Amino acid sequence: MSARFLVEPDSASAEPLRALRLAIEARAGSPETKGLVFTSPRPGEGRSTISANYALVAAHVQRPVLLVDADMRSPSLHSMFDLPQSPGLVEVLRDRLDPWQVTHTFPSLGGLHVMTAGAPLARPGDVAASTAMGELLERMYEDCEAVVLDSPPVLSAADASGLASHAGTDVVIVVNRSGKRRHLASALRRLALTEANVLGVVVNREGTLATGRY
Amino acid sequence: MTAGDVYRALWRHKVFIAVLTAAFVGATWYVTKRQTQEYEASALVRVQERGRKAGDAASALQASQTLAQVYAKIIDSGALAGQTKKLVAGKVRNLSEAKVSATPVQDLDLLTITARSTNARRATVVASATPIALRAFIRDSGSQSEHVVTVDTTPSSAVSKHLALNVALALMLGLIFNGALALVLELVRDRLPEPDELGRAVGHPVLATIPTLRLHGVPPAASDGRTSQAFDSLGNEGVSRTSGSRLGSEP
Repeated sequence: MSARFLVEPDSASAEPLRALRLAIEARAGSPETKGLVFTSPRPGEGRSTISANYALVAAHVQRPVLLVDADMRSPSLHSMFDLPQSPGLVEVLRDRLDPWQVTHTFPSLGGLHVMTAGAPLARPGDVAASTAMGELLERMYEDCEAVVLDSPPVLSAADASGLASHAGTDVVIVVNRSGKRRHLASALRRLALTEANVLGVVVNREGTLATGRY
Repeated sequence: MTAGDVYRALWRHKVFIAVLTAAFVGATWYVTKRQTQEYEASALVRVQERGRKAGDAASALQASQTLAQVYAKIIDSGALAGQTKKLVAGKVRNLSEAKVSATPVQDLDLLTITARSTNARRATVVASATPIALRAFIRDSGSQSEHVVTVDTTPSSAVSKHLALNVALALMLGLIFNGALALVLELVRDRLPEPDELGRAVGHPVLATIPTLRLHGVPPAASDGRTSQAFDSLGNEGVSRTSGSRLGSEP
């Protein structure tokens, strides 16, 4: 049984995510931008939930959309989607597998494709900025309209900066409403050091859904 | 921190401030109510220096005022307690419980002697006896030129506990103190600014604010016919593993 983490695409809960998709579309660095790294300053800010739901909403408009669990340190998408953790991203990079061989497709979720993190890796920090990752992303950007990468928190690992260093990849930072200002500032400083293109900030858990009679 | 920040911080902590202030006010009301009722009686006395010539009225008044100040200090020091006790012996008990004080009336040769006690009669008796004790004290000291006359004695009345004043003060001080406390907490907590200001504060736009969402699990659905045999065996209903090398257009 999968965890409860997805919005109903036709419900009011999906509207903030549609607004996010439009904002990202409007602010994307260039038309070639296909990759979106979802990260957060610290763990527990709702990054994986937001990235999965963003991918879900995007999958209903743009096709194909691939959601990649790029958090090789503490992967979560496999349990959220009730998928095996391995094979996944690590196997594609290590064993040079065809990425689509390890990608799971959800026809009931607008044809969303999900790639899990794969087996645990000794030094995941080296992988994110590697040439192999760059080649994989290049390939996926060719195949997909959008690639959503769920990466570790910026202040916990350099993976987000590494992923953002690849061409056509922008960064979205998810912060919890109760998060600390200095953590966000530190995360942004760290991303600025690698000249990552930060599209903006998503504030999570900001009040309750106001739908009224809509 | 701008005035707007302060206002928003206070508004965010409105419940905290309201609850703590209510506790302040409640505690003040309780303590004030529990205070023992006190009674106060006073005697107004005139202090005159005898033997002055009529033309020296101004200097006589000045001398009397000085004397009034001296007598006030003597009464406040408790030097007359023994004499007063002798005077009221048998009339009231527990005399030491009564508090006696004296205040010179400004610009006049008058002195107000006040007695406070938890017993109304005791306060009146002590207030009436203290001028007599003062007169005896002056006589015993050998002074012939000074004279003390009791002008008026005010009977005992309950001293107000100032309940309304205390509660109003507690309310005002509580709001100020708790508001300041909320601002300190705001600084210590280092919380994110409001989404409207976050973009300006961090130099990146706020793309969206996501409220608490109604979430559900992955809905079960029919396979799209491209499910691999191996993946089917995992029991992932509605999920297929893509087998092609390039997707092209997707369903």
